[in-house]
Amino acid sequence: MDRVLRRLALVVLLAATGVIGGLLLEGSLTTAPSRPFGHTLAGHLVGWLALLATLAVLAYSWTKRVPRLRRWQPVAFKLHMAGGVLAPVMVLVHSGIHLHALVPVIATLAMLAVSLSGVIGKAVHFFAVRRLREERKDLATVGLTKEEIEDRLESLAAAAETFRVWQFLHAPVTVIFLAALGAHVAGALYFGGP
Amino acid sequence: MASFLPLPKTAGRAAAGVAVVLLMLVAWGSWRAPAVMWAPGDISRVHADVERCRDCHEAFVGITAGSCLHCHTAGEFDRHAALGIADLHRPFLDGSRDCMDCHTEHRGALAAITVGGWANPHGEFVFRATGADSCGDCHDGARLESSPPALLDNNLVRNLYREGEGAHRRGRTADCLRCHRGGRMEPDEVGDDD
Repeated sequence: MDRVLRRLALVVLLAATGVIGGLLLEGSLTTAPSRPFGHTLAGHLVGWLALLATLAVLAYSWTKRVPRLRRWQPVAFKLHMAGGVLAPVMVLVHSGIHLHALVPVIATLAMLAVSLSGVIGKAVHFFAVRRLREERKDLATVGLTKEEIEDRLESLAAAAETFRVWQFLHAPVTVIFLAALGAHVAGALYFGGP
Repeated sequence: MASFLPLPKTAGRAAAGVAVVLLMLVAWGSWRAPAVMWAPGDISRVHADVERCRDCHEAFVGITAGSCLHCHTAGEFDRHAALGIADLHRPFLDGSRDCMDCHTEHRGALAAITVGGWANPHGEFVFRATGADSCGDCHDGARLESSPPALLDNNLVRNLYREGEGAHRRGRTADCLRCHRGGRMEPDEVGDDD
């Protein structure tokens, strides 16, 4: 359990670093308070690049659902992980701390929930599940019964089950994120033009 | 790749339902209170009388010089702007140059809407504090580019100096918010050398 919590703390620390780093970068790129970076041509470009990165992240879901694309799944998953971290940072550089309009605020919060839950799924839940499998195997080799093994690994099993919560956020909130993202992009084009 | 227990089928349907409700709320909000849904910041005091987004934003085009010139006509400049300000804007009045090169909006009720070299060092506070409507009410519009900009000798300026009881004097009036922190009319107690 301790190793799982340490892993969780590391993930939270890195996520906070990513969020703060993205916001600080936006702050350093903003040359005047009256014109935040996100409202410059370069800021818009970063927003469009973040959208492309987000769409690239979705390729993994596609490879899972289309049988003839399955062979691309390992590559798509790597892209999913890299883009899943990079795109939110780019979005934060694009947006900064400008929490005013409700639609982009919802999109940003949903994006952070999707990204963080994905990182917790890969880095914490999967870590706990893998450790549980390995420890079960090790304890079985020293001759412990199934009941004894389960007794010893109770807290690790509980941690693995607890961190499964990411699954209930990751895919469902993605649907909400995509709806808010679509609305934000449509609104940006409607009010700001191409 | 991680292999996890599948999500219940209802999770996807619930997320889709929430996304549909969200989009309906966005549509309803866009109709009832579009600024809450979409505006990146409050509109400035100078445009506080603008009622509808489409008064300035052309759908899928954005802000064009034409949107501004609808109200800021040559006649308006001639009638209300100081001579230098009117001259400065003359090349923009045929729509061949973009007003947004120097101006911005949605940065807050008291934010300056002019950016770059023509930024107002006093902040918008000076307009609230003095009752002035434009730079030309206190400064010689023809010599705004001199440093410091030439002041007019009129009631507004004399009143500002008188109200300052010695604190408002040449070289001390550029940054109003240094003493009037937070835009308060009552200044902070500061030493003479501050």
